[in-house]
Amino acid sequence: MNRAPTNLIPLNRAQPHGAGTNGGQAVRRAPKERILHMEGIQKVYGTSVAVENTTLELFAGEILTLLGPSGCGKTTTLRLAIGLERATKGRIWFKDQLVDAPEDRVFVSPDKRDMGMVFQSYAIWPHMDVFGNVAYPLRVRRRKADEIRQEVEKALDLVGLTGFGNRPGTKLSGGQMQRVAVARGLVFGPDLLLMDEPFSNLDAKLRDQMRSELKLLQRRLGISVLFVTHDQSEALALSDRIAVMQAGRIEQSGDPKELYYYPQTTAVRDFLGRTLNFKGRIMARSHGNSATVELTEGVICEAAGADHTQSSAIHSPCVASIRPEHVKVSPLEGAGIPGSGYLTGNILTLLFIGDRYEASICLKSGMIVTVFLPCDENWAEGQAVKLQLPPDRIQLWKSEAAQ
Amino acid sequence: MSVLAADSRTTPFGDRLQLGAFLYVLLIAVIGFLVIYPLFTLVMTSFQVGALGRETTTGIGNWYEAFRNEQLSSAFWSTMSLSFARQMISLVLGVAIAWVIARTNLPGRGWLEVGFWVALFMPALPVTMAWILLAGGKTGLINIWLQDMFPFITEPVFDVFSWWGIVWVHVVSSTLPVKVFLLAPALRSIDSSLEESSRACGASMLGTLTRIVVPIMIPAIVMVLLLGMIRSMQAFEIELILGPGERIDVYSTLIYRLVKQEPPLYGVASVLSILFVTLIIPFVIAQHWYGGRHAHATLGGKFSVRVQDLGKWKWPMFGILLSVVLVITALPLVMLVIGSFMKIFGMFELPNPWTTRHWLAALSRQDLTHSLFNSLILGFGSAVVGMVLFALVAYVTIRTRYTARGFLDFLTWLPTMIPGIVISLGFLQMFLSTSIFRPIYGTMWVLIIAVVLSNITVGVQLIKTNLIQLSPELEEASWASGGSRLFTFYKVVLPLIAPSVIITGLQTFATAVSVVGVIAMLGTGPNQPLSILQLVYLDSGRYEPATIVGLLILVITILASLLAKVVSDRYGLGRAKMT
Repeated sequence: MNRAPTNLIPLNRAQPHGAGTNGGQAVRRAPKERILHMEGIQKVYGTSVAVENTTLELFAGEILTLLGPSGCGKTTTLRLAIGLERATKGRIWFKDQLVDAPEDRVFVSPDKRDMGMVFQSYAIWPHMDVFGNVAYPLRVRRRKADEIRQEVEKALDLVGLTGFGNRPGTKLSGGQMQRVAVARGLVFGPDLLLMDEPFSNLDAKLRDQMRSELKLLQRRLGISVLFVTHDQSEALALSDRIAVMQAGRIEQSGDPKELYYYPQTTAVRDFLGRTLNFKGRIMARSHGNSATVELTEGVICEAAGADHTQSSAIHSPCVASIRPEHVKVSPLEGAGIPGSGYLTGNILTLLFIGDRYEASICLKSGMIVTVFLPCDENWAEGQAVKLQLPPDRIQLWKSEAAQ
Repeated sequence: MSVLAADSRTTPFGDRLQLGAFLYVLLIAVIGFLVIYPLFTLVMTSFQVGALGRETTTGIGNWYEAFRNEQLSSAFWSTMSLSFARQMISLVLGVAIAWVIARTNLPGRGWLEVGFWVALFMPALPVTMAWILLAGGKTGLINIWLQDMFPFITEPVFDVFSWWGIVWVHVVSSTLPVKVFLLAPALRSIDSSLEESSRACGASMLGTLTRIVVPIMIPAIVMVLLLGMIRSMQAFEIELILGPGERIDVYSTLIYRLVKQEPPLYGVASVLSILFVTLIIPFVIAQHWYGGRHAHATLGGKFSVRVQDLGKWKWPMFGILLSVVLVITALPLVMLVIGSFMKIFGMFELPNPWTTRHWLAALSRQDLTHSLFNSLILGFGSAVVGMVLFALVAYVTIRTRYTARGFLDFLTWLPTMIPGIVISLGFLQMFLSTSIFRPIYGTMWVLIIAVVLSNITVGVQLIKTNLIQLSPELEEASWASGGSRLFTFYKVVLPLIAPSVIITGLQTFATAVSVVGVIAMLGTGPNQPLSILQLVYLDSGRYEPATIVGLLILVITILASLLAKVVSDRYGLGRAKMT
């Protein structure tokens, strides 16, 4: 298995799209080669269920991220993929080869699976130098010494560690260890690279840099990546597709924008970014997707354009959710007109965070919301403001889903 | 990829699991058998009335005999009082010395710690002989000097053949070095700001030590004390040599004498052995219970340890500690060299006390070279078998998920609570009563098995501590890279735990060369090693050749200890802390 020649892969390739939950537009694209396929996977430790009935597919050349809070089963899923854990139910295929199927008594051990993996701790072997670490997968595969040297140098060039070969494994910074781990994962040209929270031990600046480098590298090599993280902004930035996991199950999967703008469950909504949730009651529904909602704040607003499948019938209580960055805030002149489609309140605290303000605003009802204010206005604590909720940014949910 | 190749990669679900489980069961079976079966034979023997080899009947005669024996209760009190006295003395001194070495700016503290390390390795018998030369009643060198200097002293002041003599030799040869060795690292893991804030509040250095450091260290100190009691109660050879002066017998020597007398009373000795083990069990349980509750107390954190300034006490303290180290290491060595050149051991008052006769005689004697050869075989054999077995057991208990691995862990702890002399007797009974084992009785294998078994607790623990610090991801990364389990163990795990495995090997080697109790009843035939040869010489009062044998043992163990120190300093901590 050789690495795909880099020049054949266009830098801006079409976004591969899963055949999963929201695959309506996938018809346009040519079918992709399926690299990894997990079907109905379950993993039980003693009495606790780590992963339950999970199905996912990973296609050639895409980055699929498993996102979720700690303990949601995402790392277990990754370890199942490479065979560090054995599934208790279900089937796993890697490039059409069945690699784990307890019912069929099939299990391929991790060393026979030919997947690259980058560990959270990097797992750089301290008794070897950088060259030894990166050469290991090739030595295991009994490649010739010449070839090993060439391939290792190529891999080190790729991750920006040219000339670091003689450095002992212990004399590396976090970022360098990270790069060695990636080089080791890629050096034997696998079709799939597994990454378990690889950036969580780096400082914020380096993390941003490594993210974009990884994406660039992945595009150049055309390799598939299964990525695990609990950091939602990392997932949004890096992934072609995201699968949000919760309590051992995949809640929703789709491309980042789809998940961010149209979450199907409250868990996904609350895990990806912040939301403001207002209680209210549906007054009217018009055809299409628009509805009129009376918020408990005493304001009537329109909700249009967004997916309202989660909301309930007319006159039933509901929750109107909106991302804080979509709330339009402006200074309030005069007393404001009640029932006119905007909320009013006073700025409680004002935090300058560089490119904008983060403000907590105390609404008339006493509810406190956090929103963002542009820098180009002069804001002051105590100032009266009005908050407009653009109809196409509001998503309605059933009221018991408020929390 | 061809279909054939794809198929060969797919291993059936069960096979590999069964192979691993088979190895695991084998490990448990072998260790379990070797630990439990000797105890079982002891129980059986205790109910066999009548001399061994003749017709025996089952009964409780041995038990009746044992409890009727007045020596039993006096041995009980001697065992307990001797153990307790030397533990208390060593503990107070040990805490103070460990603190000075670990947390002050004492000059040369690193070298002083090496001194205690070396003392830890030094075997008891040669050290005992040195102290006989120095304080052995009328002929003791110190007594002679004191009498020369102060004419009003007419009686010998120090007598090592006494209750206090036994306590003293134990303190300098093992209990004190052990305390320093165990407490110094624990003291190093205390955040120095705790001490500094006490000083800032106005407490003196001594006040800080007693009010802050010692209370924080209580869990570690209790653990060290319980462990020390367990070890002290099992002590054997020092009591055997020094006890007869005041007719002091402890459990271990009582058992030895019962077996060595004519005719041997195996049954009564077995009863005593069983009582002996039950006496120790409460301490083992207490140690486990307490250790489980206070496991966090000895864990280190991430902070720099700043040393305390001793001020004007710096050099006086250095002088005191240097003397202590010299008294426990160099003095015994020098005394043995001197003793080996004396016409009659300890007779300094002879007009011309010096001779090379003993050396010439010893070097030309068959039994010495033969025993030296045996000792080296025993040392290397035990080290190799021990390293492989301990590494395997440590790996299985730490890294595998077999449900019963707790049982294996228990088995490796069991030998701690069984005194060496009881293991020895148990093995003897096993070989004598089970015919299939009789062929290996009298061979080196018997001794190697006994030594490895008696060392299993320390050895496995040492490697486990190393292994636990290694992230499992280091192995998983190798599997993910395509390395098989065996390849990974060989290329990744073994190099990383090598320091602790080597230290374990050296420690086992040193034990094997100097051990007495565990093999006291097994190594008396053609397989007799140096340590038993020395014991036989000593027990029969031939001190001169015993000195030369002791000197040989001492030199070998000191070399092994220094080698172990080099390995642990070079690789031990720096590497183990990685990831």
